[in-house]
Amino acid sequence: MSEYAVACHNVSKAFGSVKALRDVSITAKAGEVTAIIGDNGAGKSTLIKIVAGVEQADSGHIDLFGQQVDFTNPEEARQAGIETVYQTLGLIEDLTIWQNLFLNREIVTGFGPIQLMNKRVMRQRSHEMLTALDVHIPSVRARVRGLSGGQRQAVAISRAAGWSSRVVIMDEPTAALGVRESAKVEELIERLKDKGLAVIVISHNFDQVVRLADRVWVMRQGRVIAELSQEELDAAQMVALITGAAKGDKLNESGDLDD
Amino acid sequence: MRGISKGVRLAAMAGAGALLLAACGSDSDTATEEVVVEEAAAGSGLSDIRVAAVIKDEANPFFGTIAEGMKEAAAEYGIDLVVEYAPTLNDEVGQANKVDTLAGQDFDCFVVIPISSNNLSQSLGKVAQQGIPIVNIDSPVDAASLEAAGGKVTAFVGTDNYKAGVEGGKKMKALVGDGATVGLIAGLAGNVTSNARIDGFKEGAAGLTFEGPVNADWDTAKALDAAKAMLAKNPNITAFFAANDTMAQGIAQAVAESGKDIKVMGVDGIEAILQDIKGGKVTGSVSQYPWVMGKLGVEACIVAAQGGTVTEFVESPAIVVTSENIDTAISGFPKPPGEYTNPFPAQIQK
Amino acid sequence: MTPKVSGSGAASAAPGPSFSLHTIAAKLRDPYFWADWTVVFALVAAVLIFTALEPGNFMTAYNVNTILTASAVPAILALGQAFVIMTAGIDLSNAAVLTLGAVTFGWFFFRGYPLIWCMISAIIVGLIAGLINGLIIAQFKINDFIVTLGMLSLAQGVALVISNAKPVQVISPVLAQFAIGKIWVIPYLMILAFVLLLVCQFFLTQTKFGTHVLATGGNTDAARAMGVRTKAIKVSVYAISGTLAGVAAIVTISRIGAAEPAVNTAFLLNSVAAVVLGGVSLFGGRGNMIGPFVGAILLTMIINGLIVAGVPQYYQFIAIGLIVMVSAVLVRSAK
Repeated sequence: MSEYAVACHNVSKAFGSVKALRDVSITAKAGEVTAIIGDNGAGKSTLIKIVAGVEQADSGHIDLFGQQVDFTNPEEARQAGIETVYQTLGLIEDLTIWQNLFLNREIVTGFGPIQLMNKRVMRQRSHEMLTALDVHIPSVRARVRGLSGGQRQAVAISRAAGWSSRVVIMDEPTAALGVRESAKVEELIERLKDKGLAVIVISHNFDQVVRLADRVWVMRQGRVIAELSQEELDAAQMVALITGAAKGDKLNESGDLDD
Repeated sequence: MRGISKGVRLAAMAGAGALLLAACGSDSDTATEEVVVEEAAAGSGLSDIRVAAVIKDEANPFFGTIAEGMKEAAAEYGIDLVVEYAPTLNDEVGQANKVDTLAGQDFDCFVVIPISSNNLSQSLGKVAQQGIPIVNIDSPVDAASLEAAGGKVTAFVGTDNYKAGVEGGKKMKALVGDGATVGLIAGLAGNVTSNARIDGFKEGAAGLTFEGPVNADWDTAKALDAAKAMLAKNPNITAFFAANDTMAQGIAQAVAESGKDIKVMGVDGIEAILQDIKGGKVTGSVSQYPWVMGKLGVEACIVAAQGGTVTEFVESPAIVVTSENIDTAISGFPKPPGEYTNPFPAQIQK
Repeated sequence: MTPKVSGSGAASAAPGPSFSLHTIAAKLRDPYFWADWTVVFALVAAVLIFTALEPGNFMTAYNVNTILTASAVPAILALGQAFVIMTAGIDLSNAAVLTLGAVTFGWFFFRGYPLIWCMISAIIVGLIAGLINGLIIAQFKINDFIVTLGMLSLAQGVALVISNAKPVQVISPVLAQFAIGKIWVIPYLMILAFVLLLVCQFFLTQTKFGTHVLATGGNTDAARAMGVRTKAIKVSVYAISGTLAGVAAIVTISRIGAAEPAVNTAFLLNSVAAVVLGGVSLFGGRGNMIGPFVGAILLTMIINGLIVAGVPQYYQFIAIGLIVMVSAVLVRSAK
């Protein structure tokens, strides 16, 4: 077993003539929060989409706990234990909390085409899933539409964490939230980490990254330009790296950023 | 993308609503009429008679004129009359629903014009099984299908559409001469009346060359487009025959736009077409006097409701109106210019 | 973490059923409750109004039977349309597919095939038409309006070709008996429609498929991200709509004793109106089957009631138009 939960090796991806990722190599450990930061268009989202199986790399490869994986769709990634919480949440507003938690994982009994849903069990387990992460929501029968932003994020994260998953990827988990709700979500992320999951977070909130992350990867124009460990974290330094004011330790390895 | 489709959806909803409203947007008087003449000079029995009429769409003035003839008869004899139209031209089941609805409302006789030869058969079967007589006017109900549903038409009043077509064809042949090419424009695909008129025309005008028939669904605008397309395809066309007047009006428009001297003939004899004949836009129309048909239908119903013996088949008059007789036709409208055979007044017990 | 639920509707109590004044009050404050049940209240109101207006004529056994008989076809079409609209789609071709199914039935009937085969052929043709709709919409990502509008014309054209534009009489004592048969005042046709309602409601609420239909309509991208096979769901709902149009074709033939080649667009408008009345969101994602079913009965009943009350036809159209618009506005503003 590798020491890394996720290891990307020289991953490149182009959309037409746009090179979104160039030889990107990052790692993430289990029981740690790994943050990926960078300006818009730096390639963060493309990278996590490749890890989550939504996009496929043109070259390079990804190891999951030391095993090379080659996902062709999100379902394969999910079966391998990689869950993603997207920025746009990915919850269905008009369905209830339990329906969202069990979407496409419905517990059914039956035969052939008639697969009866076992609603009682799903509601019960939904309740347990939320309780396990100390998420308080009045009823799992409530529709998502009636929930606050923080509650929705909590549901989305619970869904990601609740399925024998080993890696949880989050794209801007607190972007749309107020201060108090952000704090709650950060607590939730800490809890996932304590449960031994590898958490990969994309964030623009540097203070949050400083608070949460055990390791940070800085990206610029499709490349990784710096790797920072927890002791090195400093919001001003990160801003400098992202904007190009500071050069970054990885830059020399992977060449110039001249285009 | 989602925004656009939202807009489209709202527009479609508004459109659907507008369609529902527009479907009834014609100008004739209200569609359900109750004509009750309390102080009827006729006998007391007559005022107890309730006649239900279910006819076709009200957008076509032909049926409006039929309804006027019906109301005339109702007023004359002091009976109670309810007229219902088919919800829309193609709503065969909707028309059947109307018959079903009225069949539960204690009427003594039904006058019907079915949208298709079959669509009312089941409903009329139920009417007949209650012992209520049925008078069929204009378009025939298919006898076999009605019999299968356990019913029979008491009397039929109508024009022989085939014969009307023949008359029109003869007149057209006389007007355009041998060897001419005539464009044919038919009504709704598969419609019995339309087929009979077109087939009759072909017989009456035998020896001429025919283009078509093209179905224009009894619709003025569709007939306009169809006529344009036929003229583009075959420039030899020197005349058009349409299976009804509303389509003839559309053809006349296409002819006017082409600038050519092309004869146009329709069937029905609606009021507007008489003005078009007068103005020279339309050459002629085989006039069927729908007013007479409506009046005869209600009169036949009165006879049947009284339990009398009804003449089973009465042909309403069909006369080709052209510039030659247009003035008499206009002054007498909606009544025909001359006398016509009507056996019913003698059969009604006053 | 103790987030509080914002919004009134979601505030029902702990998991597990519990009936208290509190939960009932919460239900009444839930806009979804009103969207779902408006149509039932409207139906009750319509019954009361017409009964008051025409005491001796409206609620007679005969007239109730008439309403229910006439409601069967619109109700069956509304079920299919509801599935489609729940995925944020629309099926404009259902009336034309009904016609196509009917003439296919007529084609086989005319050639002496057994009745059961004629019936199956109508359903299969409906299924095929629906599959074509769904595959084009899902696979090529073409707008549902365009595709089903195309199918409307295509089905109409094929129907005219098959039938040679002539109606085929279908004189079958079995079908005719089926059309007029009844248990008490309930016609067999309505019993058939009701069984279909139960089946559709069962699939919607009790199976994975139903949840995935609502998920696809509610947020296609999110559903797909969770691995829901949204394309397959879309193909399925159009296939269901087409199949039900095939069933409706059989019911139509049984009622009018003929397979007619003309397309009755009133059925199309009626099915969309019934679904909207029934509280299904045109933007997808929510609704149930009971609402559209009751909506179809309501629309039929209003026309019947207005005829019985002797209201002129123009006002019948106006009434239907207003009811559809007002209910659409109510359902939307309830959100």
